[in-house]
Amino acid sequence: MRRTIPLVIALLLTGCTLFSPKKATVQQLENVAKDWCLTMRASQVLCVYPLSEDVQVGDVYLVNTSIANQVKQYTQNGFLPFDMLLTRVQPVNYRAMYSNAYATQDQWGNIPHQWQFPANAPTNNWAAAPHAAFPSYTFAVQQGQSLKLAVPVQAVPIGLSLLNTTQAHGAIEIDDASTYGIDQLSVDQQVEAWAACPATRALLARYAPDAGNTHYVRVITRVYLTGKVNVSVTSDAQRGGGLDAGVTSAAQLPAASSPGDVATGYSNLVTTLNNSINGGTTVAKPGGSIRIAAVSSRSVSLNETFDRPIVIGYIAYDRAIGPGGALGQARSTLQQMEGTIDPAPQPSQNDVTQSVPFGPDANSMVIRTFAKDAANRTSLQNWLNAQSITITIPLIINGQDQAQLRQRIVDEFNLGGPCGTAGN
Amino acid sequence: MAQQVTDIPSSEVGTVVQDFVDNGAEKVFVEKQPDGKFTVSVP
Repeated sequence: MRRTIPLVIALLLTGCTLFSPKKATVQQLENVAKDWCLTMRASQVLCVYPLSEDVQVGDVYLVNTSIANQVKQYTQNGFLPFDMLLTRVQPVNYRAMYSNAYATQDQWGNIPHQWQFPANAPTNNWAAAPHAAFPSYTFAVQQGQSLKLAVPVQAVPIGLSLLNTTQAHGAIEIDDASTYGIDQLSVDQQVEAWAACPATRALLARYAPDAGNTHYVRVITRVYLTGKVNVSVTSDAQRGGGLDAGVTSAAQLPAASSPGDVATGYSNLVTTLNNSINGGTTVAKPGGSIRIAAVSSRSVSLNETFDRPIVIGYIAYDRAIGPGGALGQARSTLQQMEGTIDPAPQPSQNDVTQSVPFGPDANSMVIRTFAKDAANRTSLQNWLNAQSITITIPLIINGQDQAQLRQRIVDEFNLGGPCGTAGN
Repeated sequence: MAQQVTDIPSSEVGTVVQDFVDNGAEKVFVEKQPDGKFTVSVP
């Protein structure tokens, strides 16, 4: 019992000093954060920082720095900061994407909230979402490595503080990972429709190229979430060093007088540690709870569980904002950051002007006759809007490249004619 | 966003112009291309 007293004192001191570490410790933790993001990058995923539940597929962000500066920031920090959320588009193509699987039936307009807040259920239903897996990664914490970040997983600094060390190695395992996404073609049609609205166009026009600076919109097409992170930390340092941020003693196993006492003592120690971490008022643990799974004098394993899964990574594409608020062609954000493709280009004349070569077919006359009636034209336009199709009716009727869409219209409205398949 | 249909034979120009008018266009521009075909556009 006497030997547990120093441990309790150490825990109290740990709690008090956990979020006011010395500069050296901060630098070490920053490096862990970059390693975290590098793991995301190795999985072809962009890292979210800070970790947040409130990042969704269909989010459209304004990016107000050049691609070159972003690449520099991405290389240095491992993540891209989100600047300004312009809008949140609810993708309309989830039904085609997932059919009725993954608990999406009749919830296509509600994704991902049916997983976050399922009706008549006390907990979330992310287990029903498509699963994902990430490789675990190891990290080493040493002095003298600096990045201007903070660590995204609270279990890491807690583990370091419990071990009272500035030199350690460990592993982080991303557990309970899930993902969902949408095809770029359909969501980009929605973004195009949003960007064509007069109010949006006026907003985007403010971010037209200025003195060589190009601004972008960034559209999220897939996100990855985790519900649990497992962290193990093993100390590599000698005990009693002077850089241990004021902690006087590391976690120690209590002495046992008999083999049976070992298990009991160990269980009590873990319980004491967990009570200290989760019951204290000085340790902030936003969004998650941390449990110690195992502990010894030189290592500690912690499980950090989030109340609801949080987004850790995403896939996105960028479009440059041109004069008048027009958007250029889309480019993968990750590929731009990795330097495998050129930055998203400014809109060309074709992007600013809807242009089609003349090339009608038999369906053109059928649709033209149908659209002569004002009510029919309104119905057709409403249907186009619902499909997020922004090309106008005259271009649909006359465009050489619009044959497929004309056939869809003839079938959808049961217009018959020589090419009608629905019968009329 | 401006819209245009290019490469229109002279015999079809009137029909395309009417399509734009039916769609609510207030101004329709017709331009002859170097190859003799026409472009119909609205701003």
